[in-house]
Amino acid sequence: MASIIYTDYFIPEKVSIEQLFEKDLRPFIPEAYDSPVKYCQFLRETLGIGEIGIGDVEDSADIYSSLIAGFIKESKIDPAEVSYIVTAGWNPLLQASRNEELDFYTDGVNVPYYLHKKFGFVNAKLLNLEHYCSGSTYALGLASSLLDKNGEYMIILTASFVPRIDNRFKFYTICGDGVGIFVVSRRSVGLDIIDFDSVTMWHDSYNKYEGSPERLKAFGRQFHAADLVKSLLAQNGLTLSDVHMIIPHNVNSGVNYLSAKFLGIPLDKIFSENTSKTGHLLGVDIMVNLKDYMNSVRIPDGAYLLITAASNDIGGSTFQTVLLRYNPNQSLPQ
Amino acid sequence: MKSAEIVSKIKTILAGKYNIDIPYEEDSSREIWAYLDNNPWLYIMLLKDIESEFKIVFDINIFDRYHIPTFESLLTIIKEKLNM
Repeated sequence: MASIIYTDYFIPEKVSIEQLFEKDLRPFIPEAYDSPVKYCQFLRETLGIGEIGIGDVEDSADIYSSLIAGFIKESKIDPAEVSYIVTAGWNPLLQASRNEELDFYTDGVNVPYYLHKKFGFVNAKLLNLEHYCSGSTYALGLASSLLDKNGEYMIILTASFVPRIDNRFKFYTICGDGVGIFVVSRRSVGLDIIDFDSVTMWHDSYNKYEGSPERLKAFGRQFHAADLVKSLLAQNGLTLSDVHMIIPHNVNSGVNYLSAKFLGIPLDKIFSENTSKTGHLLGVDIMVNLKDYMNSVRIPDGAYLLITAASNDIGGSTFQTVLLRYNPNQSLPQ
Repeated sequence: MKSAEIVSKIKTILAGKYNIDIPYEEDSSREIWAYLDNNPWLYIMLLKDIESEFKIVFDINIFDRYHIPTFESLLTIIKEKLNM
């Protein structure tokens, strides 16, 4: 059974949302608010986001190099044993880097190929899962299948780099920058990947809703996500009372409140502490949250964790969930 | 508790926490709904605030998949909860 054996992340220097709305995002402040501070108070209360990191996609090769070097140093794993490198998420992470070791500097530089060469991942196959927010969750689902058949380790890399400042602010979230890594082993030596499931929706699905489309989307999406979680647990003979903690995305506070309602669980069973500190980091959210949660508590032997993810892509939405079980006989992923 | 008292408390939450000042009206429900209908995340967080303010817990069945309570419906639900 495959398991997550390592997770780490990098978040660039942070700025408060007040700093963002004082300058670059000022045009987005509604007329009803006469100052950025007042509007930011509204956002802090409705979205629960207080600060985000802002970095540069051109640093991605160096950041990934640092994260991978950290993994190799700690695990002492031979890079030749790595069977897959999955870049999950947004296209820009595949592009330019100003890393000095690169032979040429062009928008065509592909960071994963660079990492492949730099670290000697001679047996690793590269795979790009271009799914905005949930590529990293999909990759966990794929890892079990691929490694069970042929392979030893899969490295999953994902990044959130928002290219334009005015793209950071959506009505439902504020996106921050960050980079994350998972390493999955074919063997059961950490957090076992018990099961994975996903559901796809299209915009047409929303046509059934009455009233304000955005309001109803907000509710409707969480209904579907909750259905998926219940279904995955039922497939494994489990219920929500068996789940120790849910590791979600950091989209906003309301998503977690609705999830708790629709799942019928207390809000404190959803790890929500990072939303205010990072904003939404697309697929990096689950890496940040899993690592921080596991470092913050002692996980009981055999405890089940659930990762939940959603992705709003052009044309529709998807939801994913991964069921994990902490293997008590092995070390925690750090 | 009467509807007017509930609305008044909700207006206090909106002003104090979200910087939304609803002009004084005998019945402000329509003005409040205008804000909530256009901002789903305000609506959702206000539900959480209402639970805390009125010491009630909304049941999952008020969040029907395709019909979200209007403010009028919400007031009715709150009153029912308070009278239970």
